[in-house]
Amino acid sequence: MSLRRFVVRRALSVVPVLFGVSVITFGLFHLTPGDPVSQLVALNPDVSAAEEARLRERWGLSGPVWRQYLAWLSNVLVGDFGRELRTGRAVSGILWRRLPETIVLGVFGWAFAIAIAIPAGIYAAVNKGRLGDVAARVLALSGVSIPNFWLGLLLILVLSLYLGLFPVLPPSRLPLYHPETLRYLLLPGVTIGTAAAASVTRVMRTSMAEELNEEYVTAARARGLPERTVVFKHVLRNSLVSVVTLAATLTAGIVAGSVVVESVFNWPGLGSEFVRAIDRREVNVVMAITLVTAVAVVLANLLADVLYAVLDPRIRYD
Amino acid sequence: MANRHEAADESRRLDRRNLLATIGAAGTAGFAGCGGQGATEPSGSADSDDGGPFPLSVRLETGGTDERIRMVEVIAESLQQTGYFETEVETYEWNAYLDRVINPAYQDDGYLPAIGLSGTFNPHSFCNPIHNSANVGACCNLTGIADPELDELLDSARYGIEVAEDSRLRAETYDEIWRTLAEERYTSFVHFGVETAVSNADVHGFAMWPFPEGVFSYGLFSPQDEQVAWIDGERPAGDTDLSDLTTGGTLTAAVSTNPDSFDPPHSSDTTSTIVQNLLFEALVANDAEGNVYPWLAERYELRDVRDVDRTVYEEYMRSAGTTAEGAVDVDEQVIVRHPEDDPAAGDEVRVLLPEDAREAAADGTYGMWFRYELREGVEFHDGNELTAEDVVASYEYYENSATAPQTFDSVLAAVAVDEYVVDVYAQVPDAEAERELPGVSVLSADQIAEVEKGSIDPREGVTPVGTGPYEFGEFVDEEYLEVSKFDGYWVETRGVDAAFEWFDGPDSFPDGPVIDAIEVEVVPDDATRTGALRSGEIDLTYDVSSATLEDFDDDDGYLVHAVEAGGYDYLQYPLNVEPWDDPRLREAVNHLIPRRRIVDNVLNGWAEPAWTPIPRIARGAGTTDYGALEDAVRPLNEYDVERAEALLDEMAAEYDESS
Amino acid sequence: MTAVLEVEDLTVRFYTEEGVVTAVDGLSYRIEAGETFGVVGESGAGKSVAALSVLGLIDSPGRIEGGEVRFEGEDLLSMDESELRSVRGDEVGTVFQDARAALNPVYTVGEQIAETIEHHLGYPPSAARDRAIRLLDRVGIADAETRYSDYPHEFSGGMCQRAAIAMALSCDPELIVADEPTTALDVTVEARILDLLAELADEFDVAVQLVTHDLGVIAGTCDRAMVMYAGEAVETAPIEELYYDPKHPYTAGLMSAIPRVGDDDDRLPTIPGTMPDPIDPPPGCRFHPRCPFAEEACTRTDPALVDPETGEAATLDDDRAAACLEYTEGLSGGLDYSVEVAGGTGEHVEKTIDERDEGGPDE
Repeated sequence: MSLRRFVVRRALSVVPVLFGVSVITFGLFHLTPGDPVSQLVALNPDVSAAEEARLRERWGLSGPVWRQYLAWLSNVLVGDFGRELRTGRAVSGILWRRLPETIVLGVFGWAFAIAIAIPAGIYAAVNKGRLGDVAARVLALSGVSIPNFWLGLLLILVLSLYLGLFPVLPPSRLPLYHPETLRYLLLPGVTIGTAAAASVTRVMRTSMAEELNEEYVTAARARGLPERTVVFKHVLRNSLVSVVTLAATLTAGIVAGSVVVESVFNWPGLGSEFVRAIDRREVNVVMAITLVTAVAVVLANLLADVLYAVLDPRIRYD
Repeated sequence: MANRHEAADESRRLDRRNLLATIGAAGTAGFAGCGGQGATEPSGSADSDDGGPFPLSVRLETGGTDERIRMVEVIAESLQQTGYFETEVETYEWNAYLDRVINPAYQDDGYLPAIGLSGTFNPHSFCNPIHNSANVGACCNLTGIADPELDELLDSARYGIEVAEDSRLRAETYDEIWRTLAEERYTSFVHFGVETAVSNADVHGFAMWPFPEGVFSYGLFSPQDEQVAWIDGERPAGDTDLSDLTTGGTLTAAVSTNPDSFDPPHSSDTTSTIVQNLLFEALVANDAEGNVYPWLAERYELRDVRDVDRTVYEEYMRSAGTTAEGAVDVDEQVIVRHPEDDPAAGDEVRVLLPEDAREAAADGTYGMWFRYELREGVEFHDGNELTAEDVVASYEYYENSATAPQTFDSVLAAVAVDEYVVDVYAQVPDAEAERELPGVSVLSADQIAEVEKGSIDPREGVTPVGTGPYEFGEFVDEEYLEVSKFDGYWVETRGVDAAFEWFDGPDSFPDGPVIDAIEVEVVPDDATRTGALRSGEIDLTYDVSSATLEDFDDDDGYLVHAVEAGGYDYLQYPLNVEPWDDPRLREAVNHLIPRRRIVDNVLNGWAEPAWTPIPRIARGAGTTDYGALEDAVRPLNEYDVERAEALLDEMAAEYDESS
Repeated sequence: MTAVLEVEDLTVRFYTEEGVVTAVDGLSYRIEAGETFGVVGESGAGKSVAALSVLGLIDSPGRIEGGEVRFEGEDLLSMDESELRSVRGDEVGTVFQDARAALNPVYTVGEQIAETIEHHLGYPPSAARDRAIRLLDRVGIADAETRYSDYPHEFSGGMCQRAAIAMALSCDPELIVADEPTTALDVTVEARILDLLAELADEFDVAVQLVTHDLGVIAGTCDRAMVMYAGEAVETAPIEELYYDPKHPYTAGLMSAIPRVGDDDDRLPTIPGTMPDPIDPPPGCRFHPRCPFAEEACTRTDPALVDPETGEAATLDDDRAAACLEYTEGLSGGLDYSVEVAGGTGEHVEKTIDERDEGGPDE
């Protein structure tokens, strides 16, 4: 099976998963008692019965649940996530504005995590048992254990407030691609990426150490290849296989972490929007973000599967 | 008929947004709606034992913030120390507590409840809710105070032709109320809250408005209080005065939530009002004590008061159907519903609709008639001149809006007399009407005609147009708002002295706000907001916790601006349960409340001891002479153990004699 | 004849948590150019460690404690890492026991061969590729051009070993160290690989150090062999002498452990007992606890490797040496064993043939 066929097959297998995700998302919010209209009516007795029916019709809340679901799904498929109840603004507009912010933060968080974790993991594995390894392991353990909101507040306190090195507020007036944005991204990005960096370091170290014991490493050395080639070409790629598996899980963690981190850093992404929407019981917004998040996690898994296959040719043939 | 209904349906459908916007309002107003069906506790803890009334068992109850609980604990400890009382403190989760105390049966339990309420400029808000017998079992006459003379006195201070026409009489009536309350001692006010803002030392001359809605607009330029703020990074704020004033600069401030809307009647959240107050103005303005000053109106007068109640509109009313949920089924704003009709009980109710209200007013059927004469040459941000048409359109724009209920509980109609004269009618004679009737943001009639209701908002592609000192610049949802000084601001073009007859401030007072631009950042997280202030990214914010306020207050680089506001905590006595019917006992307990100590130690100084029952904000209408009132009332509220023990000894001696 | 490799007094110790293991203890041997030299012994005898030491591939906690490894006269042990690397893969090729495990699973077989060629010979990629394909073809992989781009998991075990041989030969080495190259393979495949190895050693005129636990493998392939026990050489001899006239009781014991066709006994004869504890080897002759001829002297004196004829200490040049007190002090009971040759020639020792044949595509 070629890589391309593998990718296509995996991509197709995501379709039923996404369908399931949409059913669960819809179900969670619509099978709980009290739809938005009944909440509205309970709070505002001036709503007439006819109006209530009209509202239900308009919001796709009339008829059997499956039909409501299909109505919702068909809207979602064309990018219509309904409207915000409080202001009547289109939810899709909110998503499109917030999503890039979260993606930039998430990607930066990942980039940071990888930039730290891969070298640290390699270093620790190559120097297994020595001081550097112990230091890397202690740091990694701390990184996994520190709650991200605490880390975020600590970074703000020390780097922004005491030392004044970084701004506290997000770059509201800068375009996302502006180089200056980097200065703003650093603290939230580091905060969101730390846990992932720590996990990846640990897995990288373990898998690297395991791979270093493999016979092909001795064989490669026996062929007279320089240690650099042995480690970075032969061992690294094999070790990355387990990191990629982990990465899919960590992406879900980064997405979930963005809720807290964005709130702490006032980052105008989906995470802080999510908190706000829950606070205000904006069902459509919460549903849209839940769905987008779930899709992102599914896609991250798909990407991980593909990367996995790229890295390890054995996978494609399984 | 069918056609009319369809048209009505259509307009309602478009109005869905207004309807929904009230969810938020209903949510925040939840407290008022708490009807009490709570459980009744067995009474008896206040029963006297065989050894006489003392030591008296006292159970104090409270709920809500930790600070309030600590306040009650301090009071209990103070009572305990005299030896006359055996105290216990019971605390409840806030909503459970409300269910418990807002219950007509609670008055029989003999407990002492402590609770907090928020008042307004209206002095009524500091006496009526907690003393009027109509509010037993509602908010917030908790211990069944039912004093017919006091009830009558309370009503006469606000409603009726006499006080409506005569503000002096009204103030005198309130003075009588305060003295009566001090003597009867049904309630002990403990302290008044403060509104706070924190700024860095670049912000000079800033002062806080007693309500967060005015946090920016008031501090920047309020000639009624000779208030102006400026930016000067050269020397630190604190020791500067008007002579040091510099113009220009940008104030960067942070708000804690995203403004829902820039459309004044179609938003009810505080932040929306904060930002709208930079752009829009009203016919009148208030000073920090609630006194009313002509603003967009050059002058106004009360032309007539008629001794009517709402049944007078009966002949102008029409019949309307009701919904199954007990609502009136019409699409227009209901100005008045016939007091005898209940939409929940009947299929039809009589209602007064806007056109009927105008007809009634034209016929001379109204409670009050105010005439506002507009200034000529006031310019909107789009260059058009303000006329009576704009004012009338603004009132109409409030119909069926989120803020319609609080507007049309007093407004009957607004009618243009000529290009610069508007008559506004009140439904009934109400001494508060002078402040309440003109509480409408004046919008541009052109803009109102162009936009869909509720969509005066940059997110809807509409740039808000007002007459205010700042004009809209840029807004990014959930992120920031930029406004800049409006070149054609009418106060500035004519000069503050010329603009306001009532202005008697110094010559150096500027003719308008001096800061060129305001940037408002939306920063929901408290820690981030204060962090941004510390890092210098913002100059000013509010909504800061009291612990953090302490830090800023101790720091020379920051100024904490605090003003006595409308929130108050009070303790009520179960006067329907012996021996609390004895005013001497209530007086004694009142003397044992260490108000100063509570404010200093429990609230870290961020409150004001309630030496009288009215805070600064209600003094404008609520007293003829505050100094005299304080002289008379404060001694009764001082912490005075000797006086308390004398009263208690007296009671104990009487008991010995009678037994 | 000149020696390609001379190992002298090589000692390798492993510092484990349980204690110090002397895996190779004062080992000396030599390999002539073009010669196939067998190193045989039970597992744990130290033969693989000895082989890896030649390449300097002993990792922590192992350490080469002493001795010299002279390759074409130069001491590999005193070379620095980069000099050593230029020998490895270039002058000395290596074939491992599990060829599949020795190939990196994520690169194609061809890439890995070409990589070595590019590195040592400085070939441009396309030339390296051509050479790799020719080598694959030479080691008997059909359709080498296509197979170049196959991953190791697409190769059968035999094909992997062929590829490994191709890789070992890729830079025209002087010596190939083959560490149990056929142990993991099916017997039919084993035979073919051994034939291939022999054939190519001839053709490329390369010396081979063939490490195995299987005397049968030695017999068919090697010119000379060394028998190791517990880290020491116990006997060195040209292959025929080793078979027909084993001088050490352990060698004799190993012989009797070879299964033979027509053997009536179902149970394979084995040497009773096990290898001694490597951390705490027995005093005297390390083999004495298992030696049927052991006497009191054997428990005291560690026998040196001597010429069995003269009893004089063996040198690197000696073709024949054994380490038994019989040849120095003499044992009172002597070494009472004899060798019977079944089936005549003795050139090939027959082996049972397992009928299983995985039949990889190349075989």
